[in-house]
Amino acid sequence: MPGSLFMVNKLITLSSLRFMNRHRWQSWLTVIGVMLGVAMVVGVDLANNSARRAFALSLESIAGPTTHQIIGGPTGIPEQIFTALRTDLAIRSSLPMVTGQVVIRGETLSMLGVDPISEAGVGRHTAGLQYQNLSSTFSSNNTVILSDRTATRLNLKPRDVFILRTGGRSTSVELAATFPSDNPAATDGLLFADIAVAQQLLSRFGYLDRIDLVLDEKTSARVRTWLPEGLSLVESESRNDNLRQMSEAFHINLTAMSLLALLVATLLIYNTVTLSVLQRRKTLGIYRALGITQREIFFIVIRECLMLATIASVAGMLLGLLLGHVLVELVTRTVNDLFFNLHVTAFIVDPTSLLKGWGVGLGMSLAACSLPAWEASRNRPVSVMQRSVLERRWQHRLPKLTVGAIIMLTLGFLILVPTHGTLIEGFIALTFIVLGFCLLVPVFLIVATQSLLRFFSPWLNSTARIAIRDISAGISRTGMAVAALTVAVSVTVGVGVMVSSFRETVNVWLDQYLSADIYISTADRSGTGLTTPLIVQLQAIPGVAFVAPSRMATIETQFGPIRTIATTPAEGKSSLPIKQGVDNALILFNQGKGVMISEPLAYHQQLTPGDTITVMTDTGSKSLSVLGVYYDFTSSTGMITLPMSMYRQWWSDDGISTVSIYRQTSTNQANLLEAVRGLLKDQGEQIQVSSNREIRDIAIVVFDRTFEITHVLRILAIVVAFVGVLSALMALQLERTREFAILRATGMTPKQISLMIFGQTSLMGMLAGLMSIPLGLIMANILIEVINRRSFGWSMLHHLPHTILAEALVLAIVAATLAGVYPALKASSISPAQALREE
Amino acid sequence: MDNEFVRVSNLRRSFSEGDVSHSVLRGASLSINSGETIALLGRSGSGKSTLLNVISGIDRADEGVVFVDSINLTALSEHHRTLFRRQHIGFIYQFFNLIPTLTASENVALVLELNGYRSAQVTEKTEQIICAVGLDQQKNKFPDQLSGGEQQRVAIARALVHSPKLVLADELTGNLDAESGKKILSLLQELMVKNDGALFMVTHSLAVAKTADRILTLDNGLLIEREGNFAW
Repeated sequence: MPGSLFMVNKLITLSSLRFMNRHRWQSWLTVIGVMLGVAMVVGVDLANNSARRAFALSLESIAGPTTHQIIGGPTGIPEQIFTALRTDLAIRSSLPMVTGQVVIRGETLSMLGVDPISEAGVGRHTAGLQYQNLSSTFSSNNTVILSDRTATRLNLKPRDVFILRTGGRSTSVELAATFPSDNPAATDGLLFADIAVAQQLLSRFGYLDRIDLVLDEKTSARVRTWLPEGLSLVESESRNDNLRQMSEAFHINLTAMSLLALLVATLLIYNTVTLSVLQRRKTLGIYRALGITQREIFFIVIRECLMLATIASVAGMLLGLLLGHVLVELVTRTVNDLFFNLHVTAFIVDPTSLLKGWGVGLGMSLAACSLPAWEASRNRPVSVMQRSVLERRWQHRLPKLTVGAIIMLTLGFLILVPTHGTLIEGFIALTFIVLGFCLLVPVFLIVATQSLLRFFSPWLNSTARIAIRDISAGISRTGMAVAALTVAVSVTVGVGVMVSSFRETVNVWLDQYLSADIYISTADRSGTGLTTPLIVQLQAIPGVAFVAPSRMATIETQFGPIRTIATTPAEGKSSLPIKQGVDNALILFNQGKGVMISEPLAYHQQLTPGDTITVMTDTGSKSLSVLGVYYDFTSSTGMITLPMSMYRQWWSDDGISTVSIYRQTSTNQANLLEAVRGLLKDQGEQIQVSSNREIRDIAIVVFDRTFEITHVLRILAIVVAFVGVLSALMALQLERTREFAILRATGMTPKQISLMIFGQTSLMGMLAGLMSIPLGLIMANILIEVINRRSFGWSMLHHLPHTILAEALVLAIVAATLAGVYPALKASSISPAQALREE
Repeated sequence: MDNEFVRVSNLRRSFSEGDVSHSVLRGASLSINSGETIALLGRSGSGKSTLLNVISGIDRADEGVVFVDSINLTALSEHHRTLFRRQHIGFIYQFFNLIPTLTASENVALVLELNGYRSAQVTEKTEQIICAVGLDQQKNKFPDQLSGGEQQRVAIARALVHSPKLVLADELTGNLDAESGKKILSLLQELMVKNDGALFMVTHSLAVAKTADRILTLDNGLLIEREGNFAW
């Protein structure tokens, strides 16, 4: 019926489809751009979800129906506690557990030592592992059980005997059985054994790592009261949450990067729809003259955009699946490097991720095309048919754009004012600032081109003048193309400066942190094999000034479990790069008067020197004085460093995790290294001896590996921007077909036309590059001071590599110039006679 | 007066170019009766097209009223003016203004679809008028495959297919050679007789103007009637 709001007219739709078909390159470039953006969002989300899900599944499959856990200090829980729970408190729903890392055929697995009778009694079936059926198998000496899939991957079958390495020792074990896992993703990377076998293999004789419980509220209160000092009862869920939170900031960062690429794609959509409206201004004007209402025009443009966006989003979802496969490995590796042992062998396709990508792609496209659709509907028929009115309108809009830009920039910076805001607020602020900058691009282009014309006019020929003038004359088109390129290049600057600053900071930090000359540790970080007699032997080596053992453990605090290192201060040397501290902090630390905490811990828990931190020791809870905060990049969740004397006093753990050796100044390091290796050559391959140089090199390799995923996402963002610029330049040149024909008819050669176009596109690239530098530096500052800080708690030095700014400029110019190749070829091959014909 | 179909009273319209305001209509008034043909003469830039745009509702006057078929067009919102134009007015342009991505018959059918005609009716009426303008063999061609005269025939067919009571033509023959222009004019007159609607055409050609029932000129923003009636 006439005047219906959602008139879907067959012929209008046919006209739209034919237009898109006639401008295939434009349509396809738009589809490709949005597809890449959606693929990134979907790929990152799938990779993140696979990692998160694998971790959650591993927690759930192990935890089962348990509600609470009893945990102890670094040495664990004495076995008698479990017995007493059952006999004294009659709590039958209690499950002892011993855990540790083992290496089988080069792969690290988590060993779970369980009591099959208790497990069967509680009814916990870890992903279908039926303990009651396997109890006899389980209790045989040195036998273990794997899921079918893990066994197949390790090329093992039941009754195979293989070597299991842990704690500096190698042991022969037999694969007693395999089981079909209900949740392969959960049980991949897990090795099951009887608790006694696990205690033997992991050297945990007489101790348990935790006791899982199924308790109601009343019973949990009873247990809490009954537990001796040094042990605590925690809720399983909140403990798992703590662990989940550790990597959450990393996942959020990745998601933000993928959304940035989609933002660039959104600019592309806006650009393309605006171009499409401009190209069909006459057709839209005819529609209006024939009696199509403003609302109907609006929905015609929206429908066209949604048609392309739907195709792009579906294609993006499929591409995202492929991308997710690639990214999941990078994500897993980073989580392993930075946070905790994660084993993801199953790439989990979560339909929510696919729907999210599709929805975000459609939503962003809708948002991007709303303004040009609204503008198309607002034009009155008579004025739609006059192109000059559109450009004039854009020129008149410039003051409003400037005001809008100032508002957005101000809002963005205001959001950043609170020092302890959330990570999401940080990204929202960054988005406002980027969008505010985009609104300034048209103004900058006009000012820049007019300045060039004014100040360089005597040196410019007509061709150059036309090329420059056309940039501002077609600001409705050039503005957005340059804005998209500016944002993409600024990302390379911002992320590049951030990564470089981070690297430089880590370098400086390593210089201070690795103050010893030689480090001895074990491959599995357990410290097994490092003993006090060995320390004495090492001290006796000629040339050794000091030997400092240290112990790494996880202790329970008021903030949950926190990694801790107990150190032996070396005479006259400190390996703690102190950020801030009380007066004479190091002296007080060496005297055992308090602890040092790492910067992330201080940031996340808002602690400062002078505060106290409550820890659970073997003799009960203690409040320790925070003497200082030190820089630390080994953990984003935080660390506590305390004197070895304090550690030995309050925790019954005399183990040694690492040994640091300081040489005498007259001793050659290489010779000393050889001497130490000679002493330890019979200790087994698990003991590792490294110079500080070797450790530094490994640290940098891990660091570079961590940022591989960032580089991948950065490159994809550049590709999306390139597609946008290409699309805009193509449309720009096609709009000028008649103008080129006139120039050709007047005597300009095809080569001159090409050079004019290259000159124009290169200039646009250069201007984009120039704008990307300040935006990129602002972005870097926000990434360093806000995003990284709020994500991980790390502060960094600012380091600007001398080549990065030049690289940005070159990248922008090259991208824009390359994008001008095809339009230049098309324009130079125009037949003037044909092009000058009237309609 | 009973036969009056269009009444324009005291129409004023001006355009701004920078700080300068330029009045093209300074109180123009006219009336058009049903079935009447009016020709409007005037030099370039005199405001002829503006007057057409205001009468059709495409543009809005600064002052004055326009009644078409007793409806006060100037009192309607943009939305309702558009709907009125869709249903009751046909417009023919100098440069044809056909949709380039639709064929000749599709350009004509579009108007019927917009007006909610059923598919069978659309096909029937389109076929009829396409034949009437002599484009049966070219109906599936796109505008860029047609000559100027053929495109104008399509434009005429499009303007008349829904039997509007008012047809506006802006320089109907302005883009055609003399021979083609004569044929087009003749065709339009023939179809207007069958349509029984009013035709208001803007032209700078006296020869074209002489074929009208009345001739007006637009001079200094005002409409002046020229002496003499001229029959078909």
